[in-house]
Amino acid sequence: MAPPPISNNIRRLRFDHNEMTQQELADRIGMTRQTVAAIEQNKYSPSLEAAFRIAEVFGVEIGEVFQWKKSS
Amino acid sequence: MAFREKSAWVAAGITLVVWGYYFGLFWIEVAAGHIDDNLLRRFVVCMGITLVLMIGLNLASGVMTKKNMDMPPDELERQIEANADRFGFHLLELLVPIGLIAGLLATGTIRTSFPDDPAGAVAVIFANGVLMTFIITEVVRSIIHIVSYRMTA
Repeated sequence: MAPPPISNNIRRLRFDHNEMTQQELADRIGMTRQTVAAIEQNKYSPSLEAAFRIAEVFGVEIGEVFQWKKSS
Repeated sequence: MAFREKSAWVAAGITLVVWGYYFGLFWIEVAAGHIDDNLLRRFVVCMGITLVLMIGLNLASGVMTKKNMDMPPDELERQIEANADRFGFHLLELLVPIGLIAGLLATGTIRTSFPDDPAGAVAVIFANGVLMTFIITEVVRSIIHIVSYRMTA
């Protein structure tokens, strides 16, 4: 199955937020660590609500977390 | 590994081993033309073993991943569950009619193979055939869970 055409900066944002662990992020958005890992590795596209929650945790706009890969 | 993935491994493993043994023995007996009188006891024992092992191993894995045990499934887990349920339902829709038609076609053969109690043998084989379709569906559901979790790991 092809990965979704969406990239994300979750790894960098976690690093910028005092090396927040995947488990800490998962706890704050009500998900499992495995799901956060899947989102971070671009193996799963989260719902819009989950995407907003992630952005809220980092205190940034959703567009700073997720980017649509434009087809050439 | 997520708690729900561990549960899927536990369910698949136990179901394959315990019910593989039960149905393996049952169909060997059917092929030999003699169904053991203790079939019901064997069924109850297998059911008991399944329950004890499922509860025990799920509790053990839950204790090891205590943090995840109380959490409701998140959206990815719900999606995996829904996919497995949908596929399992379609499989059941396919297997039950196949089992029933095969059973109806084989009724004459079963009656001649079990002259002592033809009606009883047909009923027992039909019941076990239907039960086996449910077990197969459950194993496939668990395998879909495992594969889905591995694909996102």
